[in-house]
Amino acid sequence: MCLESRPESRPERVLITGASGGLGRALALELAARGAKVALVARREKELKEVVKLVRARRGDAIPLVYDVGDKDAVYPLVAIAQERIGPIDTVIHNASTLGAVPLRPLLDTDCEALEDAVRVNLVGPFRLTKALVPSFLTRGRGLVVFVSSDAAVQAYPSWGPYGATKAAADHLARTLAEETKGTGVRVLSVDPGEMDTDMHAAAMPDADRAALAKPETMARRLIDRLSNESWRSGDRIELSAEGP
Amino acid sequence: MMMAPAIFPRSLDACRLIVVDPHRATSTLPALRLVDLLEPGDVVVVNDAATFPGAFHGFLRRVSSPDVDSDSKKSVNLLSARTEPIEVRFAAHPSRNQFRALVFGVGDWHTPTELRPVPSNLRVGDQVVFESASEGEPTGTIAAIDRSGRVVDLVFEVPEDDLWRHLYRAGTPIQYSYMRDALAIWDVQTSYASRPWSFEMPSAGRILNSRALVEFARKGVHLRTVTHAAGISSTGDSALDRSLPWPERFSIPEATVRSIDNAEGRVVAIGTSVVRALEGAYARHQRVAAGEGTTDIRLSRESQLNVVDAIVTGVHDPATSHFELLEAFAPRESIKNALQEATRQSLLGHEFGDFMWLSAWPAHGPNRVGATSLPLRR
Repeated sequence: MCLESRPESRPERVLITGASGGLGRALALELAARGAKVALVARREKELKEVVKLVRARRGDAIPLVYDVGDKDAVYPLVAIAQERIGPIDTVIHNASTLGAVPLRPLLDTDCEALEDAVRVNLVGPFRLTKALVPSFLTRGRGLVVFVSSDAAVQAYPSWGPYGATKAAADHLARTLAEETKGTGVRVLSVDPGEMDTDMHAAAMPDADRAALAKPETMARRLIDRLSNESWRSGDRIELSAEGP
Repeated sequence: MMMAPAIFPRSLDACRLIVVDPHRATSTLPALRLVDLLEPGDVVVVNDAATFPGAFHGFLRRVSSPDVDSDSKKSVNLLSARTEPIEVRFAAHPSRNQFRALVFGVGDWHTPTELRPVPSNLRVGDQVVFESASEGEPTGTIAAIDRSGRVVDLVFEVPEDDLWRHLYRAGTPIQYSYMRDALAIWDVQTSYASRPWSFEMPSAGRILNSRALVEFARKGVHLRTVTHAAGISSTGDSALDRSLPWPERFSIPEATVRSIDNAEGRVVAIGTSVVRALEGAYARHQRVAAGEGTTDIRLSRESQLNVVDAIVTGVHDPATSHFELLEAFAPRESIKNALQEATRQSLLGHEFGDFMWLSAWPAHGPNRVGATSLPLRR
């Protein structure tokens, strides 16, 4: 099935989690520059409001939602406020994630609470947010759910256990959801943006050469281009490369 | 004959749908089988308003105390500290930072609304200081009071980027004394809830879980939305109650108008709020137009339905405004017979109760080609 770029499949009102830095921030700026209204979720109020201010300074439309996606009480408020302020959401990008505990360490040295925290933020939070949004996508016959994934979901990297396991779980949730919504106009995708120069990467790998890593701005552009131009199907898992499209 | 209320949120698995149609005997089926009553080409319209948690507990801070001289207004705030408990229940949202609300004194939803005391001698400038789970208490200032003294306009001088977050933290769902437990925000949302325009749940929408929404799409049933600001159902004052429902804001998207204009099947409203939005919109321009509006339409057996062929709603007692609206669809005796059957089968009423499908009787429904007296397939 080849999907040409259809006007109604361009993201117009996008909810992005983990938007106060890194890839989330870059996606917010890039989408806003392309005319989308963006509702930005993060725990850090000061940094989040700086991103909102920057979008608005560039004549874009953004609103801050100071919430923890892993918090059950946050979900309905943030979804309602987002839709009240920017209108019916058509795209959600599950970008917020946690490593579990830093410094990274072998699974056998990992506290179970750290694993539970990764499950809460990387899996259950996006699940709740998806439940709160996708039925309203169904009432409009369109919508896109993007799970930001990682190579750690596919390869077994020592010390990346909690993060990798929860990212793999989220990828499978995405595939299952895609099956369940076949034929409804709702589409689900996992995207691995590759390694990027972000605070999270620095926390995980403090000795890495940051200059050699892809910039989140570059990968944000690649990701958005891929969403609108490529032929992909709901349920796919896409790997972005730093080199080309 | 009074329907027993459902007193806690119930799983849809446990709910039933009683089917009332001029062409067949009344029957019941599991609520999850609503899709069996629908045909390809039918247009199902839902109210996608989210339910805003509009009950707030706090304290009244009177700024116009007669004991203080008007030059020292500042000291008044310190004097009238947390002595007067108050509950406000939002009923409407007239403008960006202003909410219309009912005021009550001490007590909460456990006490029947009509038994709650009401603060007296409220003045413009008085403030409502909310209790809140964390630091930073949102403060609403009374900008207007109605003649009954029970309804105020509250203004919040908080930047919009922060206002909704503060209100959501402080507010709890509006609920009444027949409930067993306090409701959580997720108890009062339909699965597809979008903008927080409603202060009580458009509860007929409970019948649509995601499985139903997907089944409709696959069956060729057109699912469409309106957003309708369903208000509160009880004020605690019988004179004010008689004035309900107050004018309600609605919004109808282009896609919904197109589907209704080109409907090959029936237009089925999920809930009385959808009927009010569509028939209210029709009443203004003699057609359903896209866009926003306000309606105070009161449907009754005198009304002619121009848009809606059938309604899915809760099981409502006679002498309620909901029942009055149902009489626009069918003769009173037919509805009452159905309610008797519902009572015999122990169906429950109120927002977490069971459901009723009510088709428009031939003389009552819209004069739409092919759809007016479409029988329900077995």
